[in-house]
Amino acid sequence: MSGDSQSHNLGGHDLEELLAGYVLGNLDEEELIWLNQQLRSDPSLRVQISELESALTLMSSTLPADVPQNDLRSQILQRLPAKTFAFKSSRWLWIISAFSTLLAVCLGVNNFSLRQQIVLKDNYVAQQQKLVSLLLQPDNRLVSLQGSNQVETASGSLFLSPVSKTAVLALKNLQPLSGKQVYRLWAISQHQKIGCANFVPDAQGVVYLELSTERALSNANSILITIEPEADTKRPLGREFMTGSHSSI
Amino acid sequence: MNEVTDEAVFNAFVRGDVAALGILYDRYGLLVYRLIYRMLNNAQEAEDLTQEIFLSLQVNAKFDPKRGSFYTYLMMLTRSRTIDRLRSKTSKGKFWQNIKGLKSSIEPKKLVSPLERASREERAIKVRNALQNLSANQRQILQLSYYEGLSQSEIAKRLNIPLGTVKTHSRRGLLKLRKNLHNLVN
Repeated sequence: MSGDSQSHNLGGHDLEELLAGYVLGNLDEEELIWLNQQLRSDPSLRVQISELESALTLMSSTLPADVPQNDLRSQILQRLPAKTFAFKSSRWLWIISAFSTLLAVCLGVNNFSLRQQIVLKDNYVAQQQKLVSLLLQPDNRLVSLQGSNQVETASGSLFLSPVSKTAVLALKNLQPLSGKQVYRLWAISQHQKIGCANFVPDAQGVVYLELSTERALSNANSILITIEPEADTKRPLGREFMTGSHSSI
Repeated sequence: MNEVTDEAVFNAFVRGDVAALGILYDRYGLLVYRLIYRMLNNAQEAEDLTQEIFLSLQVNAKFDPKRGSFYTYLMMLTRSRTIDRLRSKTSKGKFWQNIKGLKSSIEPKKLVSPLERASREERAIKVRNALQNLSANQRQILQLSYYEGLSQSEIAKRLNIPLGTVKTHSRRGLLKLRKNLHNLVN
């Protein structure tokens, strides 16, 4: 410990007195700047500051034995739990937050999936309702389509509704095509083949295609489906795949 | 846990042990209250500020064991916060402060346990003797500074002596007090 007999006078400043002034908070600006320089160059001076602070605070022990009228201890501890819980549970909060975020993402994905399913169901129902309304129309015709040879397993029908000027082509068991190849629907009337539509099956080999009935399709005697090297050919270039005629209705 | 050092108890509190703050209050709550009460001369305000100080340990504690004991840190914090409170009260009328002081002075006081009284008295006697060994000016100026939170210029004005003299007396008085209390300092 340093006593007052061990004072150092440096550059006109008494180091120990300035340390005491520092603790008492009564240094002027010049003294504070000088002392801060000393503290930076000699951190051990902090020990003296600590001792002086200790001596000063010991003066509290001479105060009269007044006591609070209220139970401050209980009041302080009662005001603590919420904050302390927050401190203790910070890790749990982090875990809960992470879990909540993950749950929200999962629910979001699930919600999106459900919405997609609802859209698909809605489309399916709308499709069925449209078919029912078409079936209720007069003068409807149905063309059954069969494979052109015994190897083909594809089958389906072309439904024609002249009143509503709508045709629906429904096929199954179609093989996927490669490159630019497409299936093409032809209307045959008076030995003329008129191209009506291009299509490709879905992943399950199914085709569901709505068409507006042009004059050629309405007046056709028979229907032909070919596999074309590309879309919109003016006349059949590929092999015949399926055929059907009105006489089969 | 009463045998555990203040620093260990404080660290336990920082880690979330609510009971640890109760231990710190048991050890120093009355000293904090008394210093505030002495400086503000108002029991209710002293109770409020005592609570604030202990609760502030939870969120804004800057205690560093390398820079002194927890007791010293707590009492320096208490003095600093009380001086702030005194400064903020300067705009208030002295009349109301005196009324509050009068009211608190006639409120009943609770008794202190014999064990606590003995322990407190032992330390108080040593400090009182150390203060008695200061010159009258040194002692008076230190007491005005510490107990009443007066600034050096306020002390100079009250005692009608030069500011430089106040600074010299206070600084030398504190150095001498440290020497006299060397067995208790830290």
